[in-house]
Amino acid sequence: MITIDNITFSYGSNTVLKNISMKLEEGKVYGLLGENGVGKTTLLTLLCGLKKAGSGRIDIDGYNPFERKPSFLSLEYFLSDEVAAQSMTAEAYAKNYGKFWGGFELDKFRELMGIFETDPHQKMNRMSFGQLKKSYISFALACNCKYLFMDEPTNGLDIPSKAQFRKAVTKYTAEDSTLLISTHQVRDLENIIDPIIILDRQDVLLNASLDEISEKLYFDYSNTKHPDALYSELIPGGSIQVLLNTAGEESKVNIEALFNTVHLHKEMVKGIFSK
Amino acid sequence: MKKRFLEYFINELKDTARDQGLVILLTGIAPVILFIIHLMFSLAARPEYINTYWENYHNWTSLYATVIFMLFFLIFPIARYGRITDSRKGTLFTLLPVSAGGKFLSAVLIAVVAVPCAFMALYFASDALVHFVFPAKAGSCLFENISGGPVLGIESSETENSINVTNTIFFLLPFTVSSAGLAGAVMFRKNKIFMTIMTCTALLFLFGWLAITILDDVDPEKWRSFISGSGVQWTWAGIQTVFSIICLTYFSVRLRHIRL
Repeated sequence: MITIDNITFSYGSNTVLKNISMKLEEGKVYGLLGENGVGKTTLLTLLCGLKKAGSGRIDIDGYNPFERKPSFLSLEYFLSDEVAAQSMTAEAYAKNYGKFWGGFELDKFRELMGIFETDPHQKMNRMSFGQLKKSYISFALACNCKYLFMDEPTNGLDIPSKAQFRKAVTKYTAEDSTLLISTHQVRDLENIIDPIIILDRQDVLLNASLDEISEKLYFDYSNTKHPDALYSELIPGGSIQVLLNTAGEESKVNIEALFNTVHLHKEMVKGIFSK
Repeated sequence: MKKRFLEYFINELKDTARDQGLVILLTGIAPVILFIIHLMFSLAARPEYINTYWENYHNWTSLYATVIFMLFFLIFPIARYGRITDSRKGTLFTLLPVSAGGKFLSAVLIAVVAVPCAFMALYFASDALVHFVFPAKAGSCLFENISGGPVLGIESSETENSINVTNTIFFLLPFTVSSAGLAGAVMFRKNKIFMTIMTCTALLFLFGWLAITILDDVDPEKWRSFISGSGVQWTWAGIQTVFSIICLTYFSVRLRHIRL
């Protein structure tokens, strides 16, 4: 269980996160969304222990991440957006470093590299950025960590790799693992992230499961124009409109439309979901 | 705990050998390379100056060794551990499930002890090889030139009834300079090598100025007896030890509290 309690973080005089509180439950794949510069990466680095919050408290299974105790570090893996090219093969890297994570499985790593169609015997500093990213994703998943923090994991992946990534995350993460994935590419991850967290400048606008969202908001894909729609957008072959779900109807959540709705009606959406 | 540290240490050693091994090797055989360069230049020298040319050779080797040793001891820890402050490369190091103490100890053993020792052994061996193969040209070897008394550490002087500390140039100075390099690796985010060299130079000037200021007030007779006795050696060894401890303490604290 991850508890974030009233944390604040600043880069010099620039406050990025202010009084942020939330709880992340086990066994879920959280999608962390937000505009550029709202502090998604900062939040991830705070959770994994690379940074220390200016004030407030982060508690992950009783650990303060910034203390970086080995017993805590072996519970988590942080996959950064920028990955380093090592001067060894991906398999050698996995063998060398995997042993420090108690749950690491080399066979699983090889399997994942197979899914990503990447040669584990290729030197990492000779890989393309996408291949390198896939190697690190395979390593991250093979570590079998309880907490996996991923910053823009689909950046740099080609179209088939994005589907492979979804498959890998769905198939190779344990049921009690918690994933927090920061992304701008919501379409890449639409079917795997649930709940959704939307960060705004110094605020959390939304932290809700897809069920809760569809319970409170209705996503209409018909061509009928609703004047009371919170958000509407023309899409190929029709339109998408987001309305308050007063009738209790079921609908498929469109994350992009949700994101835009939340940004257009920040206070209202916060009010709806805080009830 | 011990097993994890051992695994980590061996990993670090392997990484060092893979990433910096060639540089260590090439710098370690610098005496051979420098001798070949001198040999080539000697071909262009006038025959009447050849003897003078080779008579001065051992002065050059001492100068080269001083510069190469100092730069190597200072730069190697930065090349190896400078990545720690890099948000891309430092993440793995910082978040690897090994205790901060284990990472610190491993870094010290590698950057301050193992690699300087291996480098010195390689450098002196290749220098000795050159002098063994070309005794007429290369004169006495570097190791003989700079070592006085027992090679390791402490000798007792029967005539003065005192214990003197010798050859700090071998067993203390490399570790002091390497410790400074290790501190520089985590102190600066950019231009680490340049900034570390500048900081060390500034500290050396400050130390020199302080020493001159203090010595100005000391009675010349007392100073002479201090110089001729073992006090000056012990003082110098003490200064190096204290400086190393300060640098390594700084490195340890930064390692625990580094933010990427």
